[in-house]
Amino acid sequence: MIFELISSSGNAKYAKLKENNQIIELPTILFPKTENDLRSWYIGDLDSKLSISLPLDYFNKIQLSTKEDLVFIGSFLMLKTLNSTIIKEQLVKLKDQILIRLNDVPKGNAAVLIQPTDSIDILKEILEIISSNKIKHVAITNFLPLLSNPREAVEFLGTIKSELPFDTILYLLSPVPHTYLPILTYAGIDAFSNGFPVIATKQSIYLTEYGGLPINEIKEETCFCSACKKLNIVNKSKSKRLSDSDEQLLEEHNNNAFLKKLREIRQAIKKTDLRSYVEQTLYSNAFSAAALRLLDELWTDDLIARTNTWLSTPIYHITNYSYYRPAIKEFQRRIRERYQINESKKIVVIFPCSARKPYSESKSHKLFLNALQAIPYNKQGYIQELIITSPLGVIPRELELVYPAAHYDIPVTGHWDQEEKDLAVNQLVSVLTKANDLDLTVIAHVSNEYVELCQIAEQQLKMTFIYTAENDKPTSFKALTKMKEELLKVLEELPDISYNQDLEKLIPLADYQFGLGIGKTLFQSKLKIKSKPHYNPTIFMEGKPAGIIQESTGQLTLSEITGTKLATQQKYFITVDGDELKGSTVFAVGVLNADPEIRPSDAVIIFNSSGQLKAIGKAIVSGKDMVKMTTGPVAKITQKVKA
Amino acid sequence: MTTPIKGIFTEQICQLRKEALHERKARDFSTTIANWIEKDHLLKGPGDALVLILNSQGCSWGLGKEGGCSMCGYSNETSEGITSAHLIAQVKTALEEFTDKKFQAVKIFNSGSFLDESEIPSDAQIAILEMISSLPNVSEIIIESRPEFIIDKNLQKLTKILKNKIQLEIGIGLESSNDSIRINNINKGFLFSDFQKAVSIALKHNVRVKTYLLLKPPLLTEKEAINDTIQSALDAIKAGSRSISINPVNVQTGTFVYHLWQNGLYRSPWYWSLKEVIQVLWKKIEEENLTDKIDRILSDPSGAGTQRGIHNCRQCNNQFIKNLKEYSIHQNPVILDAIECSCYNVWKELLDQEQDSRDLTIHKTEYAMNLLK
Repeated sequence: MIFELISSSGNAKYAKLKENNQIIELPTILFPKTENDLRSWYIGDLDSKLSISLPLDYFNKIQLSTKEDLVFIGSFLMLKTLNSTIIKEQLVKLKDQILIRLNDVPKGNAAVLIQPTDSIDILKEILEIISSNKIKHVAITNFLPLLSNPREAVEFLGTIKSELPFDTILYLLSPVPHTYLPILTYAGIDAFSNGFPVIATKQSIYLTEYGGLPINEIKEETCFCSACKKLNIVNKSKSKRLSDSDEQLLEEHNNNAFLKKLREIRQAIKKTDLRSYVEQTLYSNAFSAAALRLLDELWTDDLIARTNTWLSTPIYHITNYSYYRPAIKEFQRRIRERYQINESKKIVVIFPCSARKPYSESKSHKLFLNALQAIPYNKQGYIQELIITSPLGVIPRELELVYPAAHYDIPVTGHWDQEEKDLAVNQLVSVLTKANDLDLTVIAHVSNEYVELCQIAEQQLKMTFIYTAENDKPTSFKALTKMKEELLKVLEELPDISYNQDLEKLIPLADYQFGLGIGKTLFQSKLKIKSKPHYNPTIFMEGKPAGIIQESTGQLTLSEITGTKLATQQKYFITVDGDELKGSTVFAVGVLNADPEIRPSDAVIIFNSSGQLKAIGKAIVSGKDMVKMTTGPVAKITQKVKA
Repeated sequence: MTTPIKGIFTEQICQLRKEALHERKARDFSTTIANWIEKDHLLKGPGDALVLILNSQGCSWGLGKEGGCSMCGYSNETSEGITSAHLIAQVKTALEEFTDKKFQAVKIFNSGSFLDESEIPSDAQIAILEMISSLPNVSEIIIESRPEFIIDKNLQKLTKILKNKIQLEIGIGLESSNDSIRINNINKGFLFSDFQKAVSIALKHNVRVKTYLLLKPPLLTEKEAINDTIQSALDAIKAGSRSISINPVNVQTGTFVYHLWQNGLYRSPWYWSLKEVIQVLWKKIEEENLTDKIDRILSDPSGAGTQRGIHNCRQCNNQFIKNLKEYSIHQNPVILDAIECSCYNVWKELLDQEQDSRDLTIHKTEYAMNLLK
């Protein structure tokens, strides 16, 4: 069995599974297979398919069927309501049986059956048995009551995804409706039984995009799939049963509806943005909305660890749930923990955000920047610009290109709800508190609702801001003039200061990427960013390439020079087994250690087992995950470092 | 039976039983819990039977240290402190109530074992049987007992009273002929070999045996349950039991099954499953040349048509209740073919899917629209 993880989005992953010349793509569906009256499951929704035997019952020792690609070797007797002493007694027995059965079934092909249970501790104990035996296929049953209990569902799935290595594949054997697939995939299910559309068919239910209807209630055609074209769907009688051929067509349509959802989900993960799709489909049932909120609340660390730090795709702010997106939260955290106003600064100017991204290309910010350009060059180095925005909070000008600062789109109505206000104030207060020693003058060049935010921050900080656009639009000549005047008042008394704009841009970026203080380690004064049209800006340090800024994501990629410097800091590193790196991929099996701060898409450095820097690369999974995983690729090598 | 055999869930079942007993209602010691006359297929064909539900001490297995069956809540309908005098009075009053009614059989149920002297003391056993055998039309008495009480001494005592005038039949709750299911899923505490021994002792004393089989013990899939009941009936017939009574589980408060049910992990069986069991069973009896060894295959489910009892869908439950009764009286399985309902296809699909997924909560999709709102 070959497992290849390609991308992830929250707890969901897009991956490939290969065995016996068959390749399936995850997430996918399971459907029944009957051969000589013997039943099992097929896995896969493309031409290629794998098969998996039926789960074993709890008591009887059944002869293992090794005919299928994947074979169940045990079912955990862990039903809700069972006393924990009984569960533990049975666990001891099953543990031994699993060890024996693993002699007959290769580890990568073994599967076990689990289900919701009353005690999280017991669940963890069971998951420990699964992961320590390197069992990679875990099926879930008895899940349906949890569809009316999102808290329990999220706790159950969250615990599984947190305890089991990320290369474990989760199969949901309980037949759930298609409308639950987006959130359940995001929570970590990799394969779904397609039982529900068939059951719905038997009840003459016609599945629609966001639910279903009794077929006799359909008044107009809404689907044009090949089955629906043949099925005269309108005006089916309520009392009469569907003919066999009509029922077959209905089943075909319902299966299509189910598969459509699944494929859309897979497309979304391929684009590493399942989150947007989940938010778009959130309102098909109450479960999805509640489960997403709870996932964000309880499992935020795992979701963040499995969400790309760097993307070029836009983030649409669709619902209130968007405030808690992993990408947003991670950005906020990095600003709070890794951003510090440079100690040379004396003035902070706070600007409102603009709809156009990056901000500096918007009409309003062009006016702001023009106004700042009018300040003498040898004083400009004292000024720090901060942009206030929802839901990201505070964005230092230097980081305006960074994902998702330049990528999010929120309806601008001037209305901020309480959550947005709290988030923004919290970020601003945090950034300014850390700069307390600098004795900064804060100029709030904002109006309307932004004034209120700044005032709350002032109170919390016990500071006084100077308001320069309180009564006029910030873009107005009057306001801009007032801002310049206030700036000059402070700057006049200060000596001239030298100012390397490129360096000041790179230090916070490197800090944002690798941790506070790293920027100064990587970059020193003799530095220049060279830009050419259609090329990403390249950094040169003492004439040598020191990295590239990826304009679409805002990410800094390392060169040998900066990689070597980062290596001295033991940050964003992966240590792999052996002396030399082979090929262009780091596989989980070779990973000895990795910085737990690493997130998918982060730039990383790769050491050999004796600690020598061997390559620069890009992470596919988080540092925590790559250490726990035992199969599949975990990082790409982008540049090898010559000894 | 030497020592009772512990099942996987024994401790928990005992514990639940104890908790449930706290809720036991106080009852009048000198009246039965219930009695009525019902139509039944008797040994001589269709006839009437008087049913007496005694208020007794309760099943000693159910109240014992390792006992109690996973589905049985009958201990809740018993009383502590019942004496022989109470029991005798109960039967006497009941018989007086029905003096002008005609019935050919009397069924005595005491939520336990009639032959267990700790439940029904010996003098009460004798007195009750003497009262009944003095009735003019009665030709059949049916009592119930666990196999460990079916021993020579206990049977001689009763057959002496009945002579050859009245046929005694003992109902034994075998539930399943599969030892693992009986011990683990049901917690019955005895083995199939204990049952076989009891049957042969009964037959030696010219006492007939009716075997109770449990349709759908907990933690089995519907399909496994169907197959188990069919196999169990064949095994019981081969052991010498000429009557089979199939009891679909009904969820009784406070039991192990009840707790599973409350968590969505148990659904009482479908009528379609019972129909399948009865019809396949008659076919197999013919195939295996057992026709001479069987008198009747009965089923009189309690809680029929409710969420806790055997049920299909709202459309066909009542029809099934009626046709099953018909079937039991006339012993003609074709009667069950008369019912048609769209839920048949749902049942069939769920039967397969439940087996494939071992999902005991799959019944949540029976009204699939509920999940799509």
